[in-house]
Amino acid sequence: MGACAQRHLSWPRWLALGVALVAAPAARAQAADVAYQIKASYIYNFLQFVHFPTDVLQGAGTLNVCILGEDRFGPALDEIDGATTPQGQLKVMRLGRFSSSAALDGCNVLYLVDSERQGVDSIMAKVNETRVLTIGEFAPFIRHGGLIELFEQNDMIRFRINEELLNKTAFKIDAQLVQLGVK
Amino acid sequence: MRPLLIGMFCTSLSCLAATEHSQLAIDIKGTSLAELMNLNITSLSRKSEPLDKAPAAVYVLTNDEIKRMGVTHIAEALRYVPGVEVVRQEANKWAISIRGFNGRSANKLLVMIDGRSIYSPFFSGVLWEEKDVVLEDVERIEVIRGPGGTTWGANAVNGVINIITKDSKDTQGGFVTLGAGLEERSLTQARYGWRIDGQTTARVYGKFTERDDGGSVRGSASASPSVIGALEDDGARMRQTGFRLDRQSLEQGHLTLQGDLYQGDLGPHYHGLGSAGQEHDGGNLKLDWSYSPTAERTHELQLYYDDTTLEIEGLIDKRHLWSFDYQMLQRWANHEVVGGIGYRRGSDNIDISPLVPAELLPEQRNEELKSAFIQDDIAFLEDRLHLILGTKYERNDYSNEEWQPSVRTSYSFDEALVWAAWSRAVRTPSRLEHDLAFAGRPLGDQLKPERANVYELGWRQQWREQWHLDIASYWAEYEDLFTSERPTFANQMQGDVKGIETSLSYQARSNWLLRLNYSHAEMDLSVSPGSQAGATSDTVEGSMPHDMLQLISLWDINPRWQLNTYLRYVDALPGQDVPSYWAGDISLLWRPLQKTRVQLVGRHLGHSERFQWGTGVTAVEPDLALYLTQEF
Repeated sequence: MGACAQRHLSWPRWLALGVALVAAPAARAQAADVAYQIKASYIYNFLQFVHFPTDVLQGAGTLNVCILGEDRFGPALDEIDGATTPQGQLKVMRLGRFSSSAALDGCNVLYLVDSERQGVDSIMAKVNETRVLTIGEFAPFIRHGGLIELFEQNDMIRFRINEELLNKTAFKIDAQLVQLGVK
Repeated sequence: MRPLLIGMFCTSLSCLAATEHSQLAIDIKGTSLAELMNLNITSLSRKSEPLDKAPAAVYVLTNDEIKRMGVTHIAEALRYVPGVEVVRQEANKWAISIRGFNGRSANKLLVMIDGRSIYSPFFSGVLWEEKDVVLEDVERIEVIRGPGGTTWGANAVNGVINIITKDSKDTQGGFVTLGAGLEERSLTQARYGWRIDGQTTARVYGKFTERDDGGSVRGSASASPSVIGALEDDGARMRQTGFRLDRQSLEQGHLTLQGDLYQGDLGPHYHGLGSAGQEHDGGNLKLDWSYSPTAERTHELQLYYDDTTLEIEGLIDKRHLWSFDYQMLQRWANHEVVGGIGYRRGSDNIDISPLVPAELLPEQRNEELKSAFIQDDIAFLEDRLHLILGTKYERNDYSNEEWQPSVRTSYSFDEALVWAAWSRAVRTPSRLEHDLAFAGRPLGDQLKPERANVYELGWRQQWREQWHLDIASYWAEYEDLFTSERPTFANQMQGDVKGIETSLSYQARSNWLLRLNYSHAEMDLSVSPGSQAGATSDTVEGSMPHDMLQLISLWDINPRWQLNTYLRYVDALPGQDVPSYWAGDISLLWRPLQKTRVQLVGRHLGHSERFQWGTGVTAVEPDLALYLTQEF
């Protein structure tokens, strides 16, 4: 239901920009910084416990992590760029805001920043969610077909996993990660 | 993963250590899922680079700082930690202490490698020359000044040093280092790390070092020519190899299996007893398991076996040690409780040459140590105020039951933290002190443990992210300190030590860090009426430097070049007839290729040679060494 309403609601660019300028005092910017460090750490941690379908990676040895949306991570992403995981070395690609011509083909992991909330359905339409691990930082990302959703609760960042989707894909995720994510 | 025995005030430390020089509030790759789920966004956001929250005098040497120094042994890396007294007695023997009481058996400092104690129960101290690690693979060295008995038990009276090696997942791939120097004659080390399966990684390493003889010899007046001769020839060779295997899965937790084998010798190559040299060899195997069934609970288990053999003139000490520890952390509401139990069992066999006019009774001994501890960290006022209450209970074979309680508290402001602590700690008699005998009469069987009552007050502050200040002050009262009263050993000395330790860092530019460490201490000891150890208290007092100063500059000239310079001042030690001195160290690092490192290191600069301790020592000579590291 929420999804339908959002699909028809599109803010003009200038208005979004204006709101961001007025509503973003410096202190908030710093708070966002820490939240994104935690989120970057989540991405790194998730990838330690996810096994990709064998035909997806084809032994390339690298895992392309695409960040779609405004880059709010700052140096936190540099920390995980080049890090090793059981699946290969992480390569972080900052794609910027989504446009219909965006090339998402090379992504093994697709992270949707909150700025892409409005266009989530058109983005998900371009993604094969059984081959790309999708992570979104807004609710209800799971209802839009995402696999992992990060959300804020009591000043902490928690996550949920879309179990229904997981069962349809060939991703293997440690049972306990799923369990932690279900609560 | 944090080492097993790290207590509460260090769990907060471990989260921070790796981020010391970055702008990040958390360690992105080193924070576990369970930890992430409990991180409070706003309290972390209060400052972009959080102050160390530990309510104790802690100092961390990061992997980066250690590598910059270009040292080949742990002991030399500790010279630039505020308040740590590092003395090179001979070319290959160090004496290291914190807050006084230094010497060959600096017995009030507990030292661990990945939670495994390397404190010798025989000498009560650390035989630094036989303990080694590949410094490249050390994640950090945590130095805690002040008592740690509540968490770590006996002998952590004046401090704890924990050398923490990297998880094998962070040491993938290989490297080889070759080095040659005037004093650090040669260093050859190699490590290779690989992934066994999706969850398991491993590494193996080998390290070989050779150190030259020291400079001039300063023997005691009564030293025989053979002793002087042996001192002249005090070069050393050390060979060590080991492995580490880590397996991490959310279902089964984090499992670490690691082990080392070493063999080394000091002085002239010799065979059998009677010649003044030293040989040591040993090995250890350790299993760690850490598991978090929920975000609020963590279980940690540690099991290790340690086997050491030490041969010195007239004595062979063989010992085996089994150690088991379990601890659990539980968070609920505003409490974080850590509790644990431990059991340690050691057996030794000490062979004293018939030529030595003393004996050890009994020659073989089995020892048991049972312990339990509990600590509760209670947070108030939106996590700003912390109160940590804890105590350790131990039952040992030398002094029976010991309680080591502590109370710590801290209050954090936006850019500052103040903390205070009161602790009690004990040092139990060593095997040698307790069982040494002449003509069948033991000297120390009536010895009591040494006791300390310590008050500490600390303050940390940061300004504009560029300035960091850390000040710790302490007042430690000691009683029942060990004395030698012919013909027996007793506990006839007492007194107090007061001091202050500061560290001020200034990030002058993004590529240039300056740091000034300064410590000052006053020691006042006295002996009980009737004691014959009057001279001892003067010697101990005169063996602690009143002032120590260190100036450090870490400069990244450009991505390929680093210049690190160090200057240190150590006050005079009248009790050891050592005048005050200044010395400098320098390390120039060049990366001609991405995987190649060339490091030129000058150490102990400023004098042609220098005695750092009393008698029976050799002088420390300046060293110039070149190291070449190739990663693959």
